[in-house]
Amino acid sequence: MKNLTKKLLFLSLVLCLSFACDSVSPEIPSGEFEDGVLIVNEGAFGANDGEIYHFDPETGNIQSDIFELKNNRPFAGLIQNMYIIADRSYLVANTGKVEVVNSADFTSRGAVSGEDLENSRSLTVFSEKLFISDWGPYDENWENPDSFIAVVQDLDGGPVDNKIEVPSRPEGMTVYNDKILVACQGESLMAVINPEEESVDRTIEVEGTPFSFFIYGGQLYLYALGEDEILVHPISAADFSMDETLAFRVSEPIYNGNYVLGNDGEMYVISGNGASTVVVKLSIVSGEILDETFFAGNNFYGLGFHHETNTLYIGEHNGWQGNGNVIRVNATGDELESIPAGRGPSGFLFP
Amino acid sequence: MIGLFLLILGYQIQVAPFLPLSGDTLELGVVEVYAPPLQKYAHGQWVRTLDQDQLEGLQGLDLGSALQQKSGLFVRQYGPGMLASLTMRGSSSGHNALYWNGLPVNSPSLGQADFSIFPIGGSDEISIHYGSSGALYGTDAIGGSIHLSNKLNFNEGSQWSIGTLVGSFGRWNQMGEYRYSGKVFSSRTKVYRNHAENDFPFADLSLSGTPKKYQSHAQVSQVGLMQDIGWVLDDKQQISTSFWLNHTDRQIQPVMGSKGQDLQFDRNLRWVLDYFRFRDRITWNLKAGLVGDHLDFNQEKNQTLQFLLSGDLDWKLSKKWQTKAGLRYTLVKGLLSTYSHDEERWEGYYAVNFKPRESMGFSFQWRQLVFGGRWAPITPSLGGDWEFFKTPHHKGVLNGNISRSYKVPTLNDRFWVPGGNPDLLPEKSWSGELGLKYRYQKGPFRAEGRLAYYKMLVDQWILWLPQEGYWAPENIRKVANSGLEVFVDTNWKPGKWHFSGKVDYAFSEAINQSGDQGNSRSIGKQLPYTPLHKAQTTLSMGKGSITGFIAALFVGERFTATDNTGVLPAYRLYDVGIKRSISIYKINGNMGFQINNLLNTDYQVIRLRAMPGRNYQINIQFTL
Repeated sequence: MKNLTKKLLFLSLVLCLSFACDSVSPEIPSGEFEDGVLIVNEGAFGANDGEIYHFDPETGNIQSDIFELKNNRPFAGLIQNMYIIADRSYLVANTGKVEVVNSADFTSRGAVSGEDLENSRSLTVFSEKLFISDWGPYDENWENPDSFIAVVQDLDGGPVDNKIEVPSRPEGMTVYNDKILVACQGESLMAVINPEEESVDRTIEVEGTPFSFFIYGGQLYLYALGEDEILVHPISAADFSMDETLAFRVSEPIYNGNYVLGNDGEMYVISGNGASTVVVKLSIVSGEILDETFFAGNNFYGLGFHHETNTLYIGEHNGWQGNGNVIRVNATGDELESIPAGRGPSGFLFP
Repeated sequence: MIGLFLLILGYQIQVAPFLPLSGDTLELGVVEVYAPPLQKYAHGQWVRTLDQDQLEGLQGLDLGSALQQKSGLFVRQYGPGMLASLTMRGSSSGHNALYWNGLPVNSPSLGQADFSIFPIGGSDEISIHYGSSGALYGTDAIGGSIHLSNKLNFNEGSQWSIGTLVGSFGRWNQMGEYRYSGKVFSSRTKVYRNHAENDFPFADLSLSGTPKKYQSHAQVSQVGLMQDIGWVLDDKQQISTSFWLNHTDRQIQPVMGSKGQDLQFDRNLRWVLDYFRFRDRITWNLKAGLVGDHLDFNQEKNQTLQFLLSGDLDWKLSKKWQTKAGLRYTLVKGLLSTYSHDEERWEGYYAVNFKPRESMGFSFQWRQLVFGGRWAPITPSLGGDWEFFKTPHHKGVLNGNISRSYKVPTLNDRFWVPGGNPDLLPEKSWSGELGLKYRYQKGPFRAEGRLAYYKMLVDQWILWLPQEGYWAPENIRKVANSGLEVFVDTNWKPGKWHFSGKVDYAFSEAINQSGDQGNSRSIGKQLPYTPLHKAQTTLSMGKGSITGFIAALFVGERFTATDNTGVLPAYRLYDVGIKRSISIYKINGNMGFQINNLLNTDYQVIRLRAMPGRNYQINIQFTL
């Protein structure tokens, strides 16, 4: 009985505190850009007009150039990738810079300073440090022999503290089993980095040209392109080996390596690099192509997928003659709507 | 080459206005080397020549800057001394033709000229032919044409000139010139060097806090040699020739946010020879020319060579009728980094003037080009002027013109590897304009104004679009242009004082009709980097040998994308300056001081391309 009384008192206290919390602590509203869709517009070479658009699917409102809107200056770069990591968002430009903004309102928190970054590609965080893959400068043969991973000690940016030499053209990265894996395109290698020591442990050969990593069903995969084929390499957690590669015959998969994972192990990729393009639907569960012409059109450049609504987002670059469009497509491949985007819409985030 | 010059000397028949001379040649009559006037067969259109006064303050600058500052034309400048491409009446940078002493100097591989590598000091006269003029000049002249001319005089004796200009941001120009002219022979040799560090401060918009930085990697160095010779063979014949060698070395100013280290070296050789034979009412002209362009961009070398040979007959049939017919042959040789191609071009042209009354004149022109065995569109043109009102002090003239023009696809459009498409069609246009000119003159006051309205449709406009693995050109765009041009020029000279004012205004609509490659949001939109409004005005006043001026330039908003979502703000620039003529014994000279961008306006002509703020220049020139 004494125990029961104690339990009732404790339960009452918890309930009381719960309700009390509800009543005295106001609900923190989500930030202006923490809902909806963020459209990454890469920008055109030589114009440095990469920007982020915000789209609200419920109202249909589109807010263009939100970086410039919130910071009173243009982004002035070509956006290779964008990452939302908690309350920080990172804009990685292949023109050699990384800007850090508040995820909620896109106001600037900082940037990677100095002149060390050359051709930045992707970013990951480990132990309160930023790791940025960078192709490094081009040589006279338009190759990148001096590629590196830049290490920055502050999550809000600041100077590059160290440069880890890696094989040519490091692209996507992921943190896996306390290591950072890096897809290095130039030599078809995957570099394994010890982030504590900031050094390369070893490199592993990859079939095809590796682009980036993704996780499905607890399994880590590496996405790579072969000749007229897409290669999906499952990576062993034990030794990072890649033994059971899935290969999909896809004509001219888009050169920028853009793809997106849908629901139930489905993957969408773009076939075609010219005006005539098509979205192909694959399954990494069955290892089969589900639909060779899921959605056909012109100048497809980027892909995104909203899992809750089962909606595919396709970025169109419109032949780089001005700004692009985004097409929203439902699960059966029917177009829902087309909305205006910026120059070269290449990626989508759903905060 | 000097030997060649001595073989091909020139002369002139036409008596020119008397020019002030120095020393003991003062009493001699002065004549000019003959050059057929541009406007002769252009009734209904307007050809404007920029005043020497206007150009004096621009010595050492490039042609792009001069047109930007002193005309209603808009020049897309990618930084001071960097690529400068001209847009006329809302057309593209390849839709205007640049001529030097009658030679077409647009690059046959690029289809346009870089106006930044033509120094102002490289020619004596700059003329602007507004509007479609393909029938008169040939390919590219869809929106209009620019003409650079050298003028040689006779009977002036020997004359040495030296000049220098020192300015902010490492600008230092030097020029030396020697002229000799007698009764039958005239020669001018000129050398120049223009240099600018372009290390001006600017707010770097690509960095957090937009810190002040100093522009780097934007140095421009230019050296050149010019030689003009004219020779009177007898009272019926003259020969003239000009030679121009120009070297421009540039660090290409990177766009803000990039670390470009591009280098560009331009080597340009131009030579022209004119033979004129005058016989009663007939003038024969044989012209030979050579235009060689070597462009080295980051060690990628592209060379083109154009040999030109033409002959025409200008015949004054009667007081009412004049006619001109000719044939032009051009051999174009291209040695580009990815292909080589030679092409022959033949074109026949014909023009006729009819003046039924003193107050009325009509011009009809026709041209047909065959390039590489293919026929370009026939280009007819018909125009007329009517002086509808004339009193001792007032004069009003109405003019109108309708014409067709074309642009041959460039060598790169057709043969670049990969992507070049040999089956591309020429771009073509129809254009019409109406104008009104008014002049008032009374005593020491003179005012002249011009108003023109035009419409133009450009079709089969070529764009490069992504294809399977590479980009390729297509005849895809269609653009409707219309606009208004206003020009006012006033002068007042009461006693020792002199006042003048000039105003240029252009309203240019260039509306995309095609949406390019399925981009429906571009349909009905203004083309990027084509301001609806551009205006410039220059007011000057002086007394005796001292003149001061203030110049203002307004460039309206420019869209940065075809769907008109991004906008570059309008900007206004003000320049002020003062100059003084000096005469000491036999030495004549002038010196000037000028402040450019007086209000230190932060502006960009092209997005994220920094431009200099307030800057100063001093120029001195002496002639002995």
